[in-house]
Amino acid sequence: MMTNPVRRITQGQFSYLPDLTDTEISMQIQYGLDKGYAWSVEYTDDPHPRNTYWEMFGIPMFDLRDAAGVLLELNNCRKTFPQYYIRLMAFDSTRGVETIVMSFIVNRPENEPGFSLVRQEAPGRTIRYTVHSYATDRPETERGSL
Amino acid sequence: MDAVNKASAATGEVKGSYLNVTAGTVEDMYERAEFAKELGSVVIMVDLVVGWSTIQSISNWSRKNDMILHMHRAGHGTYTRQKNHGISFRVIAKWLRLAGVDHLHTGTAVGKLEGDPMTVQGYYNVCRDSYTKQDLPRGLFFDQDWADLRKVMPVASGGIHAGQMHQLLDLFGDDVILQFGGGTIGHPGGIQAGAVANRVALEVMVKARNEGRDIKNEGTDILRQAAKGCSPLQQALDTWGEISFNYTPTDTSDYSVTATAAV
Amino acid sequence: MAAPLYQIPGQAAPSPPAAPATSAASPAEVQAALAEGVVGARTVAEVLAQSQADTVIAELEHDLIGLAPVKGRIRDIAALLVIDKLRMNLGLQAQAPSLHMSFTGNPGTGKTTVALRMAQILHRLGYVRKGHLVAVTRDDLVGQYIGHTAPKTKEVLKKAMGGVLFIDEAYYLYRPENERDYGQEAIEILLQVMENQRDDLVVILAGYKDRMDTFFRSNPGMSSRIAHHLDFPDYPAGDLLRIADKMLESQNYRFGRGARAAFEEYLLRRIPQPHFANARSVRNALDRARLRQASRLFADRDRVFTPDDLSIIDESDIRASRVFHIAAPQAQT
Repeated sequence: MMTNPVRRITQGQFSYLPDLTDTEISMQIQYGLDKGYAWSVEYTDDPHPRNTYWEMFGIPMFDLRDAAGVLLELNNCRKTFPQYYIRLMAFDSTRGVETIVMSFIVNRPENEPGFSLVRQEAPGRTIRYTVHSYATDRPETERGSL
Repeated sequence: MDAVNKASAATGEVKGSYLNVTAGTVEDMYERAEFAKELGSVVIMVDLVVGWSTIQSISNWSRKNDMILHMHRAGHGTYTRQKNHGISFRVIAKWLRLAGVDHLHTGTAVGKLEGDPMTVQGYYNVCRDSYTKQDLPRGLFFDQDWADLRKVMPVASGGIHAGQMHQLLDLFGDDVILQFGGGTIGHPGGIQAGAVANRVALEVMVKARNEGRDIKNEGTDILRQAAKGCSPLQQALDTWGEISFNYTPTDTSDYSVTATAAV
Repeated sequence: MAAPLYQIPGQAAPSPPAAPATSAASPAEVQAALAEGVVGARTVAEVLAQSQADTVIAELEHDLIGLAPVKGRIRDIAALLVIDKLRMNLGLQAQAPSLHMSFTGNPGTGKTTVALRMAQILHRLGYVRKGHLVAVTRDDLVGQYIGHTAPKTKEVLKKAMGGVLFIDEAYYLYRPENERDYGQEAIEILLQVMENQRDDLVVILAGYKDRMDTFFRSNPGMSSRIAHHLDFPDYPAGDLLRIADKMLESQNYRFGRGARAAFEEYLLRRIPQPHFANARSVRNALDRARLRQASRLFADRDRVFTPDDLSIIDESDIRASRVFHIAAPQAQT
């Protein structure tokens, strides 16, 4: 059987829920803004589990008051990279936290290529594992389209 | 480790399994820890019974070897059960934070091993605070500035299940590890279905809270609504929804007077 | 065998779990409903009571001296918005009204102050969600090189979302003498947002009347999106004197014997001179008077001061101004 029959990666918050509507996304953004977080938009075609830093779409947005501002940037990103993964991330600058405290995917390619598990046999019975992104099989310039 | 990596490839998420390296001597523990690392694990686990110097040694080893240290509090009852002498778990939690562990089992206020909610919150706070304020009902007797001491991720564990998600989130907030053992493996649909149920329940609850809903009171409705689109969650609620435990808690308040057998 | 063993939500799920009841409504509707709580109101009194907009309007009347025509226009606009709200509740009005405004007038006539109050009124009535004011000028919107302007303008727009964007001396955005000026790019982005995101943001353009008129003539797109034009007249000397009283009072100072009359005389001499900036000039004049008062007291090393000594501006503090020592006002016009 397939290991992931729904062919959907599940990273960050809300990835086991139906895709959030823009209204729902706005409510999450507003929650973060009210807590003083700074939102940023990131995109990638390779959501490898260890790909921590996706490409930044513009700089993080400080001093915003209303979710519409973040949504504006998100929609710009969606327009530019419709077939990429896009996520929203909230940064908490509180001393001692200083890290991302919310992160969820808000755009996915129509067809998610997923990953393969590559097993490399090493001396003895040792197996070394590599998680391989199918997305990276194509040259970068050919990715992000169907 | 094959299964861990398989799960990673299937979901796109980093996965892990706590490999318990507890052993009779610290040398044996190093050996086991090295083995865990060689297998490609990101996390090892030790039990409190190994003792303080060993915990400190393994903690130092974990920092050097880029591994997460999961601290199980097995054996803490030998310090904490007796209220008229012994050591409060709050003190043990502070010591372990000083020792530099990454995760720490700090009990839970719902489920099989439940304690007094306020007292348990006190344990959580000494793990996560940058500055702990005096808070007598939570057993915090004095202000404490933690300066830049690294924080510890508290672990809620022991008979918790998807049906309590609103209570867990309300009691313990965001920075907590929720460990569903029986609450995953005991799922009638199997382990994967159990994991789906827990994850859906958690995400739906965080979402509802962030949207401004009163999860403490509406939590059950939120879960029931979510279960309509997710049969594993429905099964989980059907299985565990009504379960309650009638235990004498160990994590009791030492601020208000508590009756103990020894007094 | 690829069929899922169970339904994971998100893949052709029958119904979204725990989607909020409001998710069918547009963000604007939801936010408006959350912000205002005036849904269902049927009378003007109900709208005003629920939104508490009348307290802001009353404060405006009370706190701001003069400005009668401006206050009148604001009352009109508030009335229109309240009636619109009632019409919306009865389903007579489908679309949110356009609220972008232009404030014209000389410096120091209260444009920024009124814009702040306007943001509060719009917030109370639920026409903007947060009610903050972001005040900018050309330098905040227009970049120095190709590709610099769009991010700059968008950055400002994002910060102003949910509130009021106040663009002072807006005509500097348009420089007809340089056809490659980046200001045009900022104008186009502004226009797009002003048109498409009326629910999210209100734009107020401000500046001198004549230059603003020229700006609107050359930018019909901008002109057609501005619903309300408010003209701020210069203050007469009497109003400025009362403004001076108020400014002093807020800083725990007051005019001493003869000082108020001297200040009135000062104003009559100062108004016709170049660069007179109404209330702003009053503030500056008072600041200088405070400096002179301080110097005067500073010289008196051994005196024990009473509260009166420390809070009274003397006639001499006013009359030391250079305005009294230069040619008579008639010669300056």
